Amino acid sequence: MERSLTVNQSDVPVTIIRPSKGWTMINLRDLWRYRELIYFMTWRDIKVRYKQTLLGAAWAVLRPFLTMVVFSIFFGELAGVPSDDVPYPIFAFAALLPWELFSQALSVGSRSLVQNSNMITKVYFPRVILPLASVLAGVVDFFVAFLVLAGMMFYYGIAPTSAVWTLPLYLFLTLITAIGVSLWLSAMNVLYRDVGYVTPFLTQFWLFITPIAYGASLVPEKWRFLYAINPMVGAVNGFRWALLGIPSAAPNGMLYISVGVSLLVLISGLFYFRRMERQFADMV
Amino acid sequence: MSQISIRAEKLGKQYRIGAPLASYRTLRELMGERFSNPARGLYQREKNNHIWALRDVSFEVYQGQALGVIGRNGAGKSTLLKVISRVTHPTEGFAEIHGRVGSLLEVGTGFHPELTGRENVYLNGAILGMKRTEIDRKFDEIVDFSEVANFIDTPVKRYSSGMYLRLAFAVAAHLEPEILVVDEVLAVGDAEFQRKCLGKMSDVAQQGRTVLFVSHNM
Repeated sequence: MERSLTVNQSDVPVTIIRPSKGWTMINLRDLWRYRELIYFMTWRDIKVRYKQTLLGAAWAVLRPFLTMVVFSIFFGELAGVPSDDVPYPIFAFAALLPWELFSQALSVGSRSLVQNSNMITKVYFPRVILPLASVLAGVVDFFVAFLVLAGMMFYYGIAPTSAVWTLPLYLFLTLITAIGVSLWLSAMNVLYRDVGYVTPFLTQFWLFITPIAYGASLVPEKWRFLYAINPMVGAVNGFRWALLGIPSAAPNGMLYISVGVSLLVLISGLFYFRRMERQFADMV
Repeated sequence: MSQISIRAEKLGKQYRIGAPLASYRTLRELMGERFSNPARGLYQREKNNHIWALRDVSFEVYQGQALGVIGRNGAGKSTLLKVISRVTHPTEGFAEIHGRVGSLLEVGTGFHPELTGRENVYLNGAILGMKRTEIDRKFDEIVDFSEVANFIDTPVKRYSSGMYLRLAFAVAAHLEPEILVVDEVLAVGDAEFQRKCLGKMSDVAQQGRTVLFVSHNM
């Protein structure tokens, strides 16, 4: 039979419940205690993502790949967008990898709280796990698509540069940005379902202000710093630089701006999320 | 032995009622309201559209005790459990909880229809606050208890509702927190299974854990 649970005063966690007001930082200790749930929720999102689909995980490749084909035909061939001496398909695909991760994260992350409302109203856990897990689940798609990129680079005979070791840093920047924006969107979605309509539009708009179909070198010098306020500019440039060695995408002041804005979005997102969190169960 | 487990002092929870605020609102509605009637916000605050679901609730539960809360529909029982299990924040008052709380306001919270029984046991266990190693250790016991061993690798969307509830309860019944908070979830399955559940629950209480139980009938 089961051992009976002996409890002594010292190792029993004491929780204080009282009305909360004002701005507080996310409770990191609590998040650490629930770290296994982050793992399980991410695992669930990965498992469920392509259930009962005909093509399954192939979607992770098809989405960026087909976008790349369309971009190559219309922007690369017909419009003649310069691709900094790299074959246009590779040029576009290297940028589409972080972009797909980001845009998918936004679309899934923004819905994460509303879709799991049954859990929110019935059991306590750090709510931040929901948007966090849905963003992290996209990393698997990223790696699947990355294999295709590796194959394409082999096909075009392009060797990665010696800066390829910085790639994880740019992946990290993409994730930080995606988590920050998802925190804002998911928390707002609880109160305002408009977010569901805004997100697809936002992603589309964001695609144009990020150097995906074109290179950042196309943006006039004097506007570059304004341009870099979009954190995805830093992330996408980083991918192009680390993988393809495109000189105009090398890290410079723009990267610092992107990283700074990304951190700002993340930290403000954590605070906003925390503030709205206490209403989730009542409002969702 | 007489260590305090839960101490609540003047807990209160206020909800807003009324159409525009109770359901979800959209930005446009909010702006429309502000423009069409700028004074409405002020007016509404004066109007009494708040309800206290819970007010002045004070009690103490000692370790190993079982406290049953009985009341008719809308008496605020579930709200009390939600406050104690930290699902929602109180509007006023204070409570002190000594130990981990396992809350069963519903069985099968977080069950995903596309996942198999096995996968859901792990997921649900984690949501209820079990450690992975703990679930590993109890897995066979949980499956035995649920009596759905043959279907454990079938997606739960193919389960009958009875099988679904049995598996869900089996996970819940193997939770070992210091404090167990239960909301009428025992009313599931056939009579035999209900008896089995009740037996399991009384085991829990005899192991020196605190149980807070809510029901609208004795």
